[in-house]
Amino acid sequence: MPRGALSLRTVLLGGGTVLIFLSTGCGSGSEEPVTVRVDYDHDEFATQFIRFFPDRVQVHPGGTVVFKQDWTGEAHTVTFGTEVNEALSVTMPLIEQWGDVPEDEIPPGVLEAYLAAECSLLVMYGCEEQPAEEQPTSEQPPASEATAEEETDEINQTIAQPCLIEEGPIPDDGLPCPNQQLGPFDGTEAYYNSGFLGFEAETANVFELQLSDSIQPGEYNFFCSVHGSFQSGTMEVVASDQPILSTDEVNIQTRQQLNEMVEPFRAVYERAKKGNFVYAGESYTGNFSGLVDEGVEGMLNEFIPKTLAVKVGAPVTWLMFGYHSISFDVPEYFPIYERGEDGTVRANKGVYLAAGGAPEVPESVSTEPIVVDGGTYDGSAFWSSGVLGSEAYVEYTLRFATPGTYRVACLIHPRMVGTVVVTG
Amino acid sequence: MFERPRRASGADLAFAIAFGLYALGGLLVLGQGLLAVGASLWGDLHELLHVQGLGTGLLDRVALRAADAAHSVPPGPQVVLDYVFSAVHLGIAAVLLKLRSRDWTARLLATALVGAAGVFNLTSQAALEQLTFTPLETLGQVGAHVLAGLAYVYALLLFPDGRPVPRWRPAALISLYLTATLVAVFLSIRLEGPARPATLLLFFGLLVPAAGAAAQAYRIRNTENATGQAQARLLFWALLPSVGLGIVFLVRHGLSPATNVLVGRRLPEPPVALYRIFQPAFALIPLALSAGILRYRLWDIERLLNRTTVYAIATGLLGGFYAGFVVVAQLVLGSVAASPLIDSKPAVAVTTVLFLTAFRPVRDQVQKVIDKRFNRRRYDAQVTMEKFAEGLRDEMDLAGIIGRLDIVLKEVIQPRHVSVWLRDVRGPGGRSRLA
Repeated sequence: MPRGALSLRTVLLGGGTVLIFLSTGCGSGSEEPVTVRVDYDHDEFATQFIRFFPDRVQVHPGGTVVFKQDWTGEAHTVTFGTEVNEALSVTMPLIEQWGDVPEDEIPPGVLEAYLAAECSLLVMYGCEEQPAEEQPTSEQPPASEATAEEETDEINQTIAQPCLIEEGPIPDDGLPCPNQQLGPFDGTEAYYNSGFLGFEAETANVFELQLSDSIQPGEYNFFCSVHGSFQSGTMEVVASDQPILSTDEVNIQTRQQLNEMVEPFRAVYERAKKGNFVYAGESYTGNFSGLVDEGVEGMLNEFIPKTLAVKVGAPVTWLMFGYHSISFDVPEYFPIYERGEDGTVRANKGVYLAAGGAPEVPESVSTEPIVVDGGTYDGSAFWSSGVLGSEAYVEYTLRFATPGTYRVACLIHPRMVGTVVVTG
Repeated sequence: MFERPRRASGADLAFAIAFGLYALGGLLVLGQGLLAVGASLWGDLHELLHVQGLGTGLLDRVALRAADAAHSVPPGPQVVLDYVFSAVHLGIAAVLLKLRSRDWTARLLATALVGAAGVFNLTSQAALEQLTFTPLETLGQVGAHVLAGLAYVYALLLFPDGRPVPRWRPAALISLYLTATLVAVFLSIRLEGPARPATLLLFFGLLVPAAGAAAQAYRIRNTENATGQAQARLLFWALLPSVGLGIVFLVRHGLSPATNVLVGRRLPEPPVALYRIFQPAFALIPLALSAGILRYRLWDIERLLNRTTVYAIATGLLGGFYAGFVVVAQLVLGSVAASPLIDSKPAVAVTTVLFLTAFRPVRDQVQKVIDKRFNRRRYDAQVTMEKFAEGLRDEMDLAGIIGRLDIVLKEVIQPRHVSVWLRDVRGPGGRSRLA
């Protein structure tokens, strides 16, 4: 046998062994970091979940917890601290007791107590209606524009940028924290916030929490400063001589929790593909742009059906659940916020505002259905409805002036894409 | 004859290492597609891959891609088509390396074929596109496309005699090849966005057959040797449909697959039409090369084919017997899992020993059948020799024996003339005489 052939075989075997060795991480003697998924984009259909998976982890002092975000379009933070523990000790029992009860059946005082605790942590969503320092005046723009402005400019920098506060309370001035250097977490910090997890690439949406060797065994809560107590979890620090769950066990736990969340959406998705959707006791038929489920903290970010056929000039209507845009000829995907060179985090106006001749975005904070006639898209350039949403739903109607195949996309959710085939 | 063994040079070793890693990468990509197919069939495997995919290592990402792709696996016949295509390419690449492991034309062709096996396999490429590439994965993906594409182009320029075309002076030729390579690499690495795989496919899908056909056309015009011209003509006509398919695709679809829409979004939407057009186009090229090698008996193909056929049939027969044995045992004893005969280690050991013992006799029998059916001269010669040996028992007359020997030798090996020297052993100092 030629020696070259022998070498090739040896190299193939050797290379394979090396690859397997490297891929399994053999040779590393240190404890593997625990990975917690932040949000989750399901493989069968696009989703977002306001959750950590798993929501309970064990770690040894000096260990590392890696928070890895699936970029679904939502910003998240990972926030620890004694202030968080305190606030969650109020909110979590309330969620457990009243979480499944309709808002109008909750006794007076419960919601107020919940919001007081949650908003002391500067939570981004849900605390907007708290008394603000500046009251609206007659000179301010109309409600719809104010909403857009509010969405685009007013991001609290204390939560959007990394922040370390050794002793409470947490300032509510919305300014960047003076101390943004997050050292090893020892559990005594009042506020220890990752800031918005980065959107640079799939592999960059990571926050590594390094624990101090001196952290005391016990439970430490964490939550997302954007979404509040519903997205929270517990980290259990276990004494070094005690066993903790292995990486495989944690992964199995993660997957089980994910499956529990996904199952209701699967049923919703399959039903919607047949043109029907039931929400809050009401049944809807038609085309859908995003769906929700009462039992799931998340959204199903899909255009259903994925492909629509329509005649020129004929109206096509989407029923929109959740917060989305209906956009055509979209530019390269950009996230809902951008981080400036000085670290300042700003909302991307381009996501929220109507463009290309679409009517202005109506008031989003509404419990009533919103009906919008989007006019006619001529197919020539970027066009966007802007981000629309209602606690009920949005009914958005559009016509097409020119035959062709158009890709429709949501500017917030990267995998929310469909096709409209327009014929003459 | 096969190449004479010689010491492996540094270049041989470097090629072996590079090719080994490259082939492993290709197999990993193909395996990922098969895993996706498996995961689409078996829910437990799908779940297992998802759990594995929660890790961050290379194999974890392979598992996650396979699990995600399980929901969009092409229909069964298309999967079969993909993997038959890949298997044929890998098989021919292995044969080429076996035939001419030190020949650079064969090496280039093998590199190209291994690359094409992975690049044109829609099932595995769709799985690959499930996740956003890390920088290393981007390098690997673009690198594999560029390497496979360029290797293909150069292999077709050099085939079959290893002499590059056009027949320019070395300096001019190097300048031409170097410029073309740099342009191709430069254009390829500048590509980005979701349309990158489609663009690479389109680029090399058009370039490879076009450059190959042009090179063979040049050979037809500039080769005086009739055999060389015939070889070039064969490959030229085989490449022409590939060029035609590429042109038809361009006319029908334009450059739309290469248009970047929805950039920055993780949308595994492989350009199916592009694959289904260029896959058959590229299947023609190795078939044409194989036809050329077979037709003109290049690179001692017969001997290898003979061996391959014999070993494949022998292995298949024994494998079939083993499978039959398992099925029968299953029918007799219940399910495989419940059968101690199948599960027990002694049973496995006995079966293995039987398999090994039976291999040689089976191989010899298969060799006989193959020779009888396809290698008639060798078979006839063997039969003639056997008959002559049998006849010797009855033949007493020396002149008769010599006469029959003369006939047999002329029949079997067709010598120009035959001489028989006989040794006289009747007394001391017996001497030889010419018969």
